[in-house]
Amino acid sequence: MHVVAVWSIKGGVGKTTTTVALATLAALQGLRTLVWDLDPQGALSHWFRVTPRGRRAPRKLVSKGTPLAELVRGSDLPNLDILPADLSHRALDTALARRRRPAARLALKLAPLREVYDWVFLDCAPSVTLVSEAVLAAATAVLVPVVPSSLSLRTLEQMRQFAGEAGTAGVPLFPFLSMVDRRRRLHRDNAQALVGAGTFFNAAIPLSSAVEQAAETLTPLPLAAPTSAAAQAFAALWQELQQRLATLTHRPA
Amino acid sequence: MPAKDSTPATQPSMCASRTFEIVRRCSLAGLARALPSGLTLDWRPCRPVERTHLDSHDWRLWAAGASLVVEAVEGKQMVIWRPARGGAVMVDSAPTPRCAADLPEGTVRREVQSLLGERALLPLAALRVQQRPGSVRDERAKIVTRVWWERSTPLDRTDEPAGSTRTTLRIEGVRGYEGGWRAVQAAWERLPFLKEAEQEELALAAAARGRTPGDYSSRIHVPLADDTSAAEATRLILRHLLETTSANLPGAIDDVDPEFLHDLRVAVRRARSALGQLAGSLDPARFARLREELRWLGGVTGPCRDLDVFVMDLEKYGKELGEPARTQLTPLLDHLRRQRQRQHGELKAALTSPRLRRLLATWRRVTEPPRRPPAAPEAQRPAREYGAARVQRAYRRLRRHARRLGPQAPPEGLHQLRIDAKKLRYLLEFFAPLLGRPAAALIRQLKELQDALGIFNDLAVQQRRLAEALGEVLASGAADGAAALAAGRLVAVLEARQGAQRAVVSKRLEAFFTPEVRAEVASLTAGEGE
Repeated sequence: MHVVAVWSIKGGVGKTTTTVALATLAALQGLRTLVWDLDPQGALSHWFRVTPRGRRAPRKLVSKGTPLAELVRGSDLPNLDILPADLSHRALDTALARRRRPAARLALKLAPLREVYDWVFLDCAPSVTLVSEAVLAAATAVLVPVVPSSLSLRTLEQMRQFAGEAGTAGVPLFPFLSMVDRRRRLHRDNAQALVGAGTFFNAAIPLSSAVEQAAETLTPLPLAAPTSAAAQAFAALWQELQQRLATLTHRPA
Repeated sequence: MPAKDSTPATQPSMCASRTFEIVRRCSLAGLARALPSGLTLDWRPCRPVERTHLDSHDWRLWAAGASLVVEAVEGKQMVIWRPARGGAVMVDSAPTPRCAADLPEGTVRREVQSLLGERALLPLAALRVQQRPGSVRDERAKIVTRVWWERSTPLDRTDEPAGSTRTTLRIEGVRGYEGGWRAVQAAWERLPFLKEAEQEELALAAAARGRTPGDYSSRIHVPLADDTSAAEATRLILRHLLETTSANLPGAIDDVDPEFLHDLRVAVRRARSALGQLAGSLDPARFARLREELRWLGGVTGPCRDLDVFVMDLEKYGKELGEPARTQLTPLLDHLRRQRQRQHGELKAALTSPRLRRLLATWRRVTEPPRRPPAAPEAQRPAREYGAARVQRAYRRLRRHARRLGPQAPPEGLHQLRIDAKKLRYLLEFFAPLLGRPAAALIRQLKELQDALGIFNDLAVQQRRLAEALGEVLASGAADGAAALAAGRLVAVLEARQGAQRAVVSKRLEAFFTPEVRAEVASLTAGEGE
């Protein structure tokens, strides 16, 4: 089971769009896929029209007594399940802080699902919290969407620093370019330099109205506009991610 | 079919399904009208679907409560895996998988592989379907139940329609939406034109291909009655083994998977064992020729099976040893695979020969009900009493041999014990329906001993075969010193394992001759020994 977190401490960089697209592509490929919405905004859950089950969901998500499997809900797509979130999930951090070894909690909760799912995607909130630490401890790899601007690059450095301080420097941070506006020279130049330097994925996601339209109709982009440039770029990103993880041996999920 | 709801806590809950038969004309709008407020039903266009149910020859997926179906829809082929715990996974898979390894890597392949083992996937049932998929949605437009209206016709082996067409409504819950699922069921259960389907689609479609789910098992089960005579029991056992041999013949000839040859050989071995151990109930002249011919069949089927096992073992050991040994053993494996192909050619020639046809004809003829009672000393003895006496005798023989060999028995001695144990096992299985629970308990205990003896023997045989194969492959120039080095490492590993296995064998032997087990064996006749 691969656990991939899609995380950036900067908001509005395409985290949820990326998670929805990658999870959909995995599910369409016949892989059993789970998406865990860790963002209290619940945008991903809304995209899949899924709401959390019952009350006290945040506490149950981290408690010892409730298996995650009991909180999972099926999406409208075959092979794709969701652990949804809503505003009440802002209490997740507090709930986690009350547990022993909070940073290891998400990994522990995911462990029983190892034989059930092929891929787990964690859609993270744009923040640096205890939940972020737990995400880094649970993930096989972290995908970081980066808009090609200097502020975003500074954010990436901060995230690397945080991973080091959290003692999870071994988790690979895979940055990729997101929302690239080809009409803007700064974006074009930065994109070329960053991909050329080899630290970023080759796949770069263009800024696209197809993404907005997909979100509007609550349809994952690979289904709403499969031939769009953005959907093709996500398909390339998905291929690259699989190849990278196939050669990754640093730790089992 | 009733909903499956026994989901372990570690598995995502609830993905039950039900199938209703549409027993008289109905409008799809009627289904929508019956739903409670808040739920809506939408349909997608009708489409033709070619559906094939895949399973092994011995129905391993069906027996485990799972199913693997291939659907060709609008030029696209999908494999749908439904594990016993419920839920469905759809996997893009073209061409049709012939074995678990043909499925894309992931949990589905692992689950199918764990049930199938070495068996091939065969198209045991197929249907031509007109399908209209639909969804029941809640107020948020979220799907809470999936729906398929279907008109399906089974297809025979030539893919021609056979059997009657039926119209069904299949519904499947969505994980985590139990409320909606219950509401849909409650609404539609009441409809007069829907009736819970009594027969599974698989059973109906398999019938069009002359099969019934569970119609083949390598296990021996001969229904013997209390008043059956020893001669009749032996005849029925031999007849059953003839059917098993015949059922495996085409698969062994076409090399569909290694289990066909394995099951064929087991049936032949059981028949030879029956002819020897139950000789007292048979007319010797009538069965003399069959006995001779079965020895021939056992002989000609041996080399190919031995190579099947050796190749599988070597592949497994390669994985265990890891790199570079795995790559270094490749020339050896290639050599063995080529040898195996040659041997299969010879096997095929034997299994399609006139001699084999004559053998089967003789086997059939001598196991027809006899016109006169056989002239054999034990022929009229009640089968239960006769079977129990033979089991007791075989047990005593095994015990005597084990005692004589002592704890430091040479490998050849343990090989002989393995054969004795096998004979005892066959007898217990032949008469299990008459001997009841004590026989079942003995089989369980004996299996443990057999497994231990089997592993010990395999380790000895593998070391010898590895040395032989290495000699051949080095002589042919197909391998170099690296292969020899890897084979040498493997022999050392096997030798060490064999040493450790001896202790396991001693423990199991001891366990099988305790006063309790002896008492169990004695209880088979309840005081009526030989």
